Amino acid sequence: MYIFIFILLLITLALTVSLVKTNNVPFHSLLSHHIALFALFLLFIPDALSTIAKLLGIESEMNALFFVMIGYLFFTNVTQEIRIARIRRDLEKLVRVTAIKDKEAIDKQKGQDDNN
Amino acid sequence: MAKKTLVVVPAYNEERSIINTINALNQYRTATNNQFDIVVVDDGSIDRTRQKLEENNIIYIHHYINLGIGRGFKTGIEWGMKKGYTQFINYDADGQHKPEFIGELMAHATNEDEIIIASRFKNGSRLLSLRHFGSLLLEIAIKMKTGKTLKDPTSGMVLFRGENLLNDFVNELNARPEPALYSKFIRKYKLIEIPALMNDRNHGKSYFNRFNSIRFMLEQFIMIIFKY
Repeated sequence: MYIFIFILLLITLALTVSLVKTNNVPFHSLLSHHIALFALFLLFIPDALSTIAKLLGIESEMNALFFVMIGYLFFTNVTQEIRIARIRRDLEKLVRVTAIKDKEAIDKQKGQDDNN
Repeated sequence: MAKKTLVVVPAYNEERSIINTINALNQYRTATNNQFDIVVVDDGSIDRTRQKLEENNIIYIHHYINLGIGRGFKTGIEWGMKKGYTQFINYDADGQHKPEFIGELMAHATNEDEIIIASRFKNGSRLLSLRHFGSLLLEIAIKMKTGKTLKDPTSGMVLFRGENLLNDFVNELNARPEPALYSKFIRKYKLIEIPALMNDRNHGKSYFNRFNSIRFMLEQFIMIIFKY
């Protein structure tokens, strides 16, 4: 059982490290997200979960805790989606404005060359 | 006010067809004496599209990254408005559109704010394909929402004109020449369809594979019903 928990922990850590590396973000920014994810992974091993809950003395609060964790994941998902949508809009605007400015600069340069 | 027309050709990885497309447009312009200018918007191509445009002295605007279908048209309009153009035609770079319908679109333009769509289904019938079925679904959605009929809401060959309409289009976030936008604009502006024929794609791969087609149709359907 403890081996399974250990494997799950390793998977969670590997996920965190891979996301941190690929997206070049600080480790702590994803940690809370992955603690919640790890706890949800533990649902696959109910025995392990109840042992940990007993150890921590939170057996009766486990359901509530998991609802809060799922809620937290949904919340982070929504906020990230909104943030990504905003950044995409800004990026789109930036690319379009830059493209037009570049074109105007080229036209201006051509005009000057023609005059010379 | 005199109508000054700009044909905007958004292109993404069209190195094999872009020159033929522009040549066909130039030949048509010379043959018919139609007054329009052409600008290509290279939408972050990663092939030799940009080099081909440079080598052939074609006027183009360059997006540093690919922004997706429709954004090129928007950039072309924004640039063209600064240059004093009053009407804009979206024209595919892949050779699917026929130059002669540019003249048709221009001939139907009045002095109002309007959208004129070159429609494959105005006089013709749909084929038994997933894409055509999706187009029918969008036609029904627009009819349900606005009470107006738009036979070919997914046609890419379209003329936009009029200051109010163009400003609305440029300032609207995420606006692209697509069914959901037509569904919104059809209530505010004049929108007509003229019958047109289109070719098959010459080269390259369409963005609309089966998965993207279904996703696009669903996304548009939801936007028509719930957003616009």
